[in-house]
Amino acid sequence: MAGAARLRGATPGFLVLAGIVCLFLFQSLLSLLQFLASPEALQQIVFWLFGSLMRANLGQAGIVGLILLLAAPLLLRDAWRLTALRLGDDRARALGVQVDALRLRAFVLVSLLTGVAVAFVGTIGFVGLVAPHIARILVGEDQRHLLPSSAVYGALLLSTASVASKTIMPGAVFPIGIITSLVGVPVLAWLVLRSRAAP
Amino acid sequence: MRLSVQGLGVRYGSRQAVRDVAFTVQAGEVLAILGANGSGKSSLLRALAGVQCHSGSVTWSEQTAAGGLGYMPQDTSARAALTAFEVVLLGRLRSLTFKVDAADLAAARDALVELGISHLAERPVTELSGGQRQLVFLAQVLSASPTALLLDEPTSALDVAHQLRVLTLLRAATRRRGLTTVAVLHDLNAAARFADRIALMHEGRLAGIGTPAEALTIDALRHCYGVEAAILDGPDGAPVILPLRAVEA
Repeated sequence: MAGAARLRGATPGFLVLAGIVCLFLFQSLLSLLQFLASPEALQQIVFWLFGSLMRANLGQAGIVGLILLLAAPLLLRDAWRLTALRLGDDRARALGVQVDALRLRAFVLVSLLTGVAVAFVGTIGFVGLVAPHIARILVGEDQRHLLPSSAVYGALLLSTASVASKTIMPGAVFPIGIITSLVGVPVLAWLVLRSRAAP
Repeated sequence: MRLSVQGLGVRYGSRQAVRDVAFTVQAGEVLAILGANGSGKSSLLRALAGVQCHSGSVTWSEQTAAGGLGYMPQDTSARAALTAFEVVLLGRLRSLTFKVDAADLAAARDALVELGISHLAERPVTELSGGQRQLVFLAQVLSASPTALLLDEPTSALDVAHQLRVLTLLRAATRRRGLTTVAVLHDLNAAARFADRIALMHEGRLAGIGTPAEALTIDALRHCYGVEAAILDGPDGAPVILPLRAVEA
């Protein structure tokens, strides 16, 4: 994706389309895995697809924490440049930002952070979409504040959803991914409509 | 700082937007680039700013990295939820640290004061008018204390009073700080009054360069813009251009 972006210019629109292409590709591969998997492995895959914190342990949390500790300073070091990028590629370049290199750095770090978390707890949707939008409304676009705030609101959102998943059905644990999606879809829809209605 | 351009060309795919442009600009001088739509003005400026791949050479007589080139792109749209002050502060990007220095804050405040827009400091740029945003982005460029200004239509969204104020300020800053200023303008009369020299672009080529009186001739305006025009003597010596009619192609 990064290579294709370099050829075509890594515009946000291109990255979204490339992301959709990748989504379909990996969904197909996932279907292939399910088709070929043994019944026991298939159960594990389905559980992972639901998304769950139930199987998380301290060792996994340590690995995620370590990656976060390594990635956070690198991202925060670029905070001002990322803020400048919000003014558009042309203006960021005018301010001296190496736009392609910055976007690639952010892309790699965000992929790493997301990938490590998803590998352990499965696909818990909408946390990474909704939390930054809420943080942006509350703290603005200065990435020095927005990046840590997004992480904090994401953690709060996930913790709240986790508590809800354990209390919503007495005696059973409701899949947390379903809760975040049920909450996330209307919140995101509201945020999109709100931003379109703004002048 | 002296700017020297030799054999400059810009190509987009198979289209040659700028070809074989050569000129020099001295420190303390304002050069206005004029020309019809699509004549290559913005491409030329982007090449000078180093944000556009080009052939030929663009040479600055001093190292530009320290003060930097103050390049202001044409587009003044903004979708980021940043305040005007934050946008101006980004002009100091090269020196900004996680905890912002007092010197950077003071430079941003001074630039807002210089352009008379201190009252907009805490307003989100998304809520400003096009003209106000143009002033904010101009303040962003000035806040960096650049050694050269490369401005793409810096007054296109401003009312006439703000146009006069901004162009007067830019010319004074150019003289006082010894800046090298190149500005793409559409307003022929503003260019004639505020620029020391004018470069006329036509179909990607430099059609003429000289003082306003030398560059803005009836023949040059017919050739570059396709208009019949009268040229009058202005009260301050600068020519006043009066476009009369478009010439049929």
